[in-house]
Amino acid sequence: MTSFITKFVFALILFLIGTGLFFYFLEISLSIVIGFLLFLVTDEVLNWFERKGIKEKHAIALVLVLLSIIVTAVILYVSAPFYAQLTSFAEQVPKLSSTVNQRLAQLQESYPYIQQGVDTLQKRLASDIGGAVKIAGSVIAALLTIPLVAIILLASRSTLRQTVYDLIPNDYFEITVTVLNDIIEKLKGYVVAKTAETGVMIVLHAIGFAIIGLPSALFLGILAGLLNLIPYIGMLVTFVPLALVTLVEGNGMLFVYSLIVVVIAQVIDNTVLQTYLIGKFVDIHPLIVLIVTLIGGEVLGALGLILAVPMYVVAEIVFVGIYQYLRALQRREELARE
Amino acid sequence: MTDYDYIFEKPSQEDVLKELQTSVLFKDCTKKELKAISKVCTLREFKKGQHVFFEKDPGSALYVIIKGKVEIKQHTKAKFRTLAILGRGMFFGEVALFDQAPRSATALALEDLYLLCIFRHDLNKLVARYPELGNKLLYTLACVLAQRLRVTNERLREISV
Repeated sequence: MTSFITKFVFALILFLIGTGLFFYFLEISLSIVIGFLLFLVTDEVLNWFERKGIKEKHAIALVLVLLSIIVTAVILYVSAPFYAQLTSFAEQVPKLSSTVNQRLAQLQESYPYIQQGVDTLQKRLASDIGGAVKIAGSVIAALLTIPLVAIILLASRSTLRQTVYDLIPNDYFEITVTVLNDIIEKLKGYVVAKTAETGVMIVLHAIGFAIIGLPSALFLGILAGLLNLIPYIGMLVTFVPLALVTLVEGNGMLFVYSLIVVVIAQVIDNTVLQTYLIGKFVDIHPLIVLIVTLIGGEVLGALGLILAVPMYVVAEIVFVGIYQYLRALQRREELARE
Repeated sequence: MTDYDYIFEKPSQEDVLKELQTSVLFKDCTKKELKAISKVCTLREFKKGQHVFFEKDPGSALYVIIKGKVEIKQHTKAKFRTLAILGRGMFFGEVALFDQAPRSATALALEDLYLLCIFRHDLNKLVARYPELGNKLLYTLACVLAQRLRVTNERLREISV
């Protein structure tokens, strides 16, 4: 048992060192990880085509054609309206700012201590904007690295498995591949399900906002769908842009309608998508989700809020895999001793 | 290709196809199906005395013997009991394809071995892509399992009498 504990502690230290290196080289690590996840999603799409009887070469060609169509459609039908809506939203900012200032001035008259809060908020916003400019450079680098990693992995798709298998010594071959396959299958399932969930949430919000006649419906739909990646807190943050837009419109009922759209989308997400898509792959207690998200936000800021739960899921899968692996090695030792 | 050619070179894809045809498991498969199977197979070489897997290991692969002999043994009351010795064309580890339970026995290379291994998750993909092939494989596997169960029952009867 002591030997098992030693190995487990050793594996844990290695895991922690790996995690430390991951955070130290965060930009590169994230690009590689996201590139790998993109590869997993594309691989699953290719598998689906192959299951339908389409040959691998044709499936790859089909995926490329489909991607080109999607990118073109996004540029033509989403980017242009999205840009227009973003511009109109930006144009509204001065008006919005003066409206907010007016309201704040009114509030300050009644509650003078509110000025202190506003000052803190302004300082925080200024530092956040500085950070955002820095992030923009990293995002451009990541946008180039992520597809590159995914393409390299896809190009070696047929030989990748054999290459990895050849590296594993015989004594640990089956056990390693079994645990590794388990980790990859669960990861693939989770990533595909999460992507599908986000897509559905974007569509639901955009349609809902368009139906109630909310300005910048597409932009706000995409924003709400992406914010949904942040558990619990994301939904609450969605209310901020909605409140601002409806404030400019001066239509209180529109805000109520937009809240109804968000609530309906959340109900669909929690009862259908979470149960049938995400729940098949992960089952985390809501309290853990909340704690992990808050810790992620504290450590990595906005990015941490989005990545906290997926990172927790990956860590849990890898951790259970390592535990299984070491337990099996422990049993082997026991057998050898007897 | 003779048995001893393997000592000098690793079997090619064609050799693997030929060997697959001789196995009981794939006897009813067409050439196209065998080609599809060979794509998900992994060839492994084990030296005499090496273990393929141990009892209670998490397992998910089936092995087809291309060359050499394997001893399947079980650990009972601080002793190892030989259950079977398998040779070329035979297969073992098939139970792991159907359940997620740990290995029920240990497999040891009695001679230098060449094995073709198919993992559960690759077989599932194959079955989803070629349902007809899936039916054939699962039927053959069911027949072999039934036969082995019958032998086990016979042995149990002998023990109890």
